[in-house]
Amino acid sequence: MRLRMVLVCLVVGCLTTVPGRAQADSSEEAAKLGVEGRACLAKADLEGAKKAFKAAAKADRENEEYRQLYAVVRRVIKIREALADEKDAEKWAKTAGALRGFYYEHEIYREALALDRQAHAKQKTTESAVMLAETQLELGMNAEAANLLGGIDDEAMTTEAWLLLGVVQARRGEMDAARNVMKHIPKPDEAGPGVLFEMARLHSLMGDQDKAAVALTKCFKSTPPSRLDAFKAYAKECKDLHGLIAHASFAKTMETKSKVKESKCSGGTSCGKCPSKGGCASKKKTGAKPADKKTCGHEKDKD
Amino acid sequence: MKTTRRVIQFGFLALTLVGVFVVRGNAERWCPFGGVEAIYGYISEGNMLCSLGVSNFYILGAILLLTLLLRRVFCGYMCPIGTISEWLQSGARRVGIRPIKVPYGLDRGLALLKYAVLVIVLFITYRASELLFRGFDPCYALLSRHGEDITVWTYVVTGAVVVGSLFVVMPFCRWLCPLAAVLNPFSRFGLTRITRDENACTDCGECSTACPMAIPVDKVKTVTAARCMSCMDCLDACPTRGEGAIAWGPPKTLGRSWPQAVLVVVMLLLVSAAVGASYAFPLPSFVKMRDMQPGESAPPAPAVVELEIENLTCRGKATLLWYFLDRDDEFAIKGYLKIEAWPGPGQAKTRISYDPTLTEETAIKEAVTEPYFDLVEQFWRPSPFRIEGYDPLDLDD
Repeated sequence: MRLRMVLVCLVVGCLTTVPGRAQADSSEEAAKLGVEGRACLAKADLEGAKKAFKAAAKADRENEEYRQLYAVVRRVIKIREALADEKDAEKWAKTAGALRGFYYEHEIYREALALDRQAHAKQKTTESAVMLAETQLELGMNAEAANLLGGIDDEAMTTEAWLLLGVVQARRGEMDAARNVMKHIPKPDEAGPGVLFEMARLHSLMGDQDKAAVALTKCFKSTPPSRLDAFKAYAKECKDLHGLIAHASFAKTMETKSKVKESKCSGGTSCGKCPSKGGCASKKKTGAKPADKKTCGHEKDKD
Repeated sequence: MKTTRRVIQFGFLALTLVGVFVVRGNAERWCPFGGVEAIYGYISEGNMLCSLGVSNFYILGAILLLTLLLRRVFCGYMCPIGTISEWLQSGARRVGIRPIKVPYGLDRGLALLKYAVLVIVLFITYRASELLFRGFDPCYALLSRHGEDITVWTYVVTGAVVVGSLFVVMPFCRWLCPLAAVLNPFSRFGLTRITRDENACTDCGECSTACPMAIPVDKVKTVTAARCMSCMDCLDACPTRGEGAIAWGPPKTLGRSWPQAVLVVVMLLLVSAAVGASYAFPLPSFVKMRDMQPGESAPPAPAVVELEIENLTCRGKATLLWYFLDRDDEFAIKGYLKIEAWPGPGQAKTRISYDPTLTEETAIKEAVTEPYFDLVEQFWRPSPFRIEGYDPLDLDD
């Protein structure tokens, strides 16, 4: 009798622990593959990332994150291939925008730089120059960015362009020139989150941490809730905000909550018949990472 | 007669509550006023507002026909707000709260408010293409199970209706309900009437006192007031009904009362027919066709793929689906021709027509389920849609 009980317990124990153990093993394996995939992404090895995320998704089929990463990387590889053959300038710009969005989301700035150079060579607009300068700033290519922005006529300069010029001048220690740039900057109340973030960077680089804190707080307030955490994480890592990060007001700034409603936008190309156009928060102010703002169809940060 | 009406009211209220809280269905799709709000968008753009469906049109059609035949019986027998309002009033009387008698002139003046409400609601809804007044609608608070558009105002209005109903008989229905404003012109020419035989009538005034719509029944020969709900409370209250003082039926049958069963049977038949038609002839509630380029013509034999799509819940989502197919970037589906969708909770049927010489079914399925770049937020999002029986990732290949 006792032997039978022991056997039953053993069988029950095995039946309950083996699947759990197997699941834990596959989750661990998936996590490892996920790390591998991210490492590939950081090296701009999209094929490697695709393979790793696919294997991770296979190992842990319940994990939605790996499925999504695999699906996105697969899609991005396709658009990258399509971009090389695209003859239509408008389509090329749209596809390049989506590709750039991916690079920025995963901080693959080297690839973004090559893309922005191509875009600027094709378009030669202030907007394309600003995008290129922005990537150059991400990569610490201050002299190149200063050259590029300095070469734009004053009349063609936008608020974004002035701000980036100010940032690059401040980085290079040209404080008088940077201060001069400030007169072209609108009041914080009139700006979108992308501009506000750049303002915070510029103020912080110039040593005015109170103004930087005000701009960053307003920026967070006008960022949709779903993007706020990523935005805050980006701010924490931003070297240009170093002065502000060390300042007493930074902790309070990081507690700022979003004041805008989540966008209901379906991502379409026209607002014309959108059912939500009447109450669309994203039309006025939304914020992904500030660097990602320029190609937005709603032109929310245009001046 | 009152008991029959109470049973029917209870039946419709119970059906609504079971549908909303037990089955957790989209009860909004059975609101006749939804049909009024959606008609403009359906005609002009081929799609319904938010999560409404063509069932709203079927039920609206049935209610309008019912009103032409039997007056505003929807208000007196079917509407959950009318039922709750009446029952609250009845309960209040039982605990000793005397209803406030609103002077006739004031009542008539206040009754005009519902036309203003109708005009404002329709004007703003048609302009915005969105059900912006949901947030003020006491019925939506119930039907949506405290849905996403509920605001504090919803409960302020609901609270006002509840409190008001304790002191005044059916205040929302009499003065503010925009559906009542739609039904009134139909009811005015309704086939059946309450008629009073002046010879047999003792002028006791009990009929007028009993009327929840404050119609002075004892002052007229035939009740033509559009607000008559054929509730028959006046017949119930009449002490000389047996002598033919008051009757309900077509005008020519003066003196001969139709049984209330006629009303019940016609009402149930029409409503069942509307529900049946919604299932038998389910017109799509979202239709979009690709704009043909100059010189382009539709293919002689378009192919059609029918998909069961998860999370295609409302018009906003259907618009996103449309964008996935009608986009003008690298992922454009060249042979896509038309979407017909039935957005709703759970899995929504979708029919997509395409030119088989330009694209194939797999490309359409990919377009629906693959991640996309959100142009506004500027980041990649996973597609919210899943297709039954289709794994977009195909991990085992």
